[in-house]
Amino acid sequence: MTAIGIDLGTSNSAVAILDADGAPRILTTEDGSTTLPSVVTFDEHGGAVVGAAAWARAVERPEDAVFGAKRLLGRRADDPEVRRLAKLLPFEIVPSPNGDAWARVGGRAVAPEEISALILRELRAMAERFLGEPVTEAVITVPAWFDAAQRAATKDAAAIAGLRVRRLLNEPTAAALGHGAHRGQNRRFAVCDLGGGTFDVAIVDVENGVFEVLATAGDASLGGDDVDRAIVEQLAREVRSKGGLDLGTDAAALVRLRAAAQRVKHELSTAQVADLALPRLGQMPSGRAVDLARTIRRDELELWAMPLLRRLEAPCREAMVRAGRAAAELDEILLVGGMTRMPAVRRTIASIFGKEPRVVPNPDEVVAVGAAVEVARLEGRIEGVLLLDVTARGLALSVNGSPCDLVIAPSAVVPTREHRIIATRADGQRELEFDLWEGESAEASGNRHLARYAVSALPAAPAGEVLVVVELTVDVDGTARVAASELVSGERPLLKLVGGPGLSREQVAKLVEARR
Amino acid sequence: MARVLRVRCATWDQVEAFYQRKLRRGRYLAMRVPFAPDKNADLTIGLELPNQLVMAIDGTITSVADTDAGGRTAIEIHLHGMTPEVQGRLEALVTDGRAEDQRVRNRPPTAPPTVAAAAAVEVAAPPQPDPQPEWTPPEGAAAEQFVALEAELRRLRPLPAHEVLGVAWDAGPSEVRAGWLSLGHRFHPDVVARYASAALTHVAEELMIHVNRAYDRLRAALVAEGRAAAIGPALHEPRGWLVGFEEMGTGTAPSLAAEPEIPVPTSRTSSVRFAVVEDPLTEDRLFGDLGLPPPPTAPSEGDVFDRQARTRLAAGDATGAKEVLAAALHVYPKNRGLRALYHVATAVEALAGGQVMLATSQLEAAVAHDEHCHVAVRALEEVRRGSDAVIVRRLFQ
Repeated sequence: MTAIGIDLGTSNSAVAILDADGAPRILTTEDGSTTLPSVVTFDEHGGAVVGAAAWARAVERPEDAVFGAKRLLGRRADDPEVRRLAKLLPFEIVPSPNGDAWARVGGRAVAPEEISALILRELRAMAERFLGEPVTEAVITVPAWFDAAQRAATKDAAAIAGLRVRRLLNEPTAAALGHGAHRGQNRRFAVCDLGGGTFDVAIVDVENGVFEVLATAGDASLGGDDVDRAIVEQLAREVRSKGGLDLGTDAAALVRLRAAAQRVKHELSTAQVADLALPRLGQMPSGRAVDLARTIRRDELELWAMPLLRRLEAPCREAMVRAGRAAAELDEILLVGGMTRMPAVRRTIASIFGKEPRVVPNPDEVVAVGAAVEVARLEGRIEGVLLLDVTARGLALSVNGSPCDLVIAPSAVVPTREHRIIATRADGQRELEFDLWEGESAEASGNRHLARYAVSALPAAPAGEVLVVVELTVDVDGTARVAASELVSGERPLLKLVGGPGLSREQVAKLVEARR
Repeated sequence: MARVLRVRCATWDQVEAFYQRKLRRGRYLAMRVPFAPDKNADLTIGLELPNQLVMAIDGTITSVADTDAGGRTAIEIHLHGMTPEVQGRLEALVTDGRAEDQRVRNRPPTAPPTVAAAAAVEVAAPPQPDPQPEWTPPEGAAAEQFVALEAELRRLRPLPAHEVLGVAWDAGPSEVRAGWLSLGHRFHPDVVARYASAALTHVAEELMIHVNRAYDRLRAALVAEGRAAAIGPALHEPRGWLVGFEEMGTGTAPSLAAEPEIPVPTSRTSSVRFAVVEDPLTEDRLFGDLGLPPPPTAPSEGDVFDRQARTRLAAGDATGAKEVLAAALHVYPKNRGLRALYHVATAVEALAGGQVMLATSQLEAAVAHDEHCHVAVRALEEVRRGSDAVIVRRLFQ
């Protein structure tokens, strides 16, 4: 039974283990890269390609590729956030039979759990190649703001990939663990995670081995991809103004430009100037080829990225206000995510917090290393560390369309459990249905529907005399489970799930079989 | 550190009112706060938006007036953090937020799937019915642990919350937290994860649930008493304050007139007030006391909402009154008068729909919350006598 640490990212994923002597080891793909792009392409036969190879295929067939499936995990198709994303993502988002957001790709609707499972399977294969033995368990990181449904969907994805989740670990906690915070003295961290697609800030306290995420904030549509896009737009504008050629309709040229922009961005993190040469980028209507050759200076790039850099400040300030912390009270600013290699990002963060941020040597992989440390901790190889978390949203209960009754408060410490007693409303009623909601509002429209349950085989009795205790438990991973028992007899009547979002156990089992 | 003053905006209209009307020219904001700050001290406003975002806006206190009888001090803040960018962001959020509200309002009430429909699609949700943990008897060291934890669970189950954590009943935040942490180090399921025994993990989880519930209850009590602030899982000495929306724009600082470079806003804003006084249902009435000299008797918390709700009830708009009161209760969850009035409004609504039983129980609830709520007492008499909605509504006129 070997366990690995996985950072399942929106645009890049990584996997790490801790050696027998406690040194972290980041596992690589077959071509030697430490991160795996979270991209999956499908072919006509239902076969899937993952990672860098999928990137290459996506250039030719963009309609068959799914990027950023993590953004859809555990979300409804009519969620305002999903509707906003639908405009930005290249693939089509369609509702599943029960209203979940699925991706339409290669001519069929695919659950985000299945796409994430393909990425997890690839990461698992990377680990098995290195270790030479089967891997069955993993610690997987999730954003601290993931709610119960998103966490459950992540677990389903792992199940499809044949991995048992030992723990879902919050990303800021993982970053602090990967940084070695459990070995040092008491510290107050701000973890700024600027990845390919999202920006997350968290204030994390580490005191005597106790890790607490005090507050989180973020911008779900700010990342390295936006910087690439800014470069592409600028260069396309220049081409247009110089030769009058509009690249906006030439998909192949834009893909080439995009790849070149990414390379230039990486080079400019260390160099002051970078060259860009794209011969025969496009063709004029007259048939004359248009070349693009240009030297880009670092200050030019920073100018183009300025509108994006400005958006870093608000989430940082928000996290500090939520945590009741001034910047001067923070001991260390941890930079996580590949985009934090960009000097301008470091400068902006430094000016927001008024302090030089800590440069982590491996910002792309530190979260995966944290997950590997967590594996070692669960195996008892690291002592005296305690990770404390709270529920991201409240859980509420309603019976027959009654107002939602908040059962588990938001930011209750997990694991936790609360119960409510519900009663029959008609004489001889043998079945009782209730709904579970996520959110704090008394009105159903302000909350997210999680599931509808039916308690059946109740004893026949006059109205109101059959009382059922409904217990909601939120476990250490932040996922919810439900139990019901009859109050008087203490018997557990039949509790049945009637409907709700997410994959059913049967669907998960079927997908496990299909991918075997 | 710079103090943080959190201002809770319950509706997007309030957010708009903040930057359009509360904020005076030159980015000055007058408000009453529950503490006596120093002049020239830094103060950050944390504007809590209806979508749970918090906008941090830096400011400096430019003038401080005397503290009134209620322990509140009128101050004036120069919000230099309110840059055009921040304002632009707020405006965009208000537009989006209103569109979203509109969408939610227009959406038919969320209908959970019916049994038949659900059976047709054969789906199930992530929170599965509680599976019984597979019980295999633990062995060796795990068995010893199991027996020890099981005994602890039996010992802790009947105890009151403070005894679970091993602290005095009136313990402060730091003791409660220390008690909880020491138990966490012993009982957290992670501590026994190395034995990979389902039974052992289960009993540890049960223990931790019990400990966490005790902690959550003590924590909520301390927060309600104002002795602590709960941030994430932590518990701290309180820092920063939360004020109601209508504290802004009231309490003109005395030094305002003495500083000529700051435009005195009274004339500008009061013209706004009188221009709309014809229509009692606009938001201006709700926040209409903007910029005027303080009324002779200091209004109690949420007075504005109270007045507004009564106006609406008198106009026969019980639903509108409920909305106002719901917003008010969001800011003043402990104001009994407002809560009583909310029940009265619900009762009036119920009467209009012919639900006399519901109306009676709502009015009884109102009286239970505030026995001095004359409207509720008299309405209850009327309803018991069998009067209808119109007569009850007349009570407000």
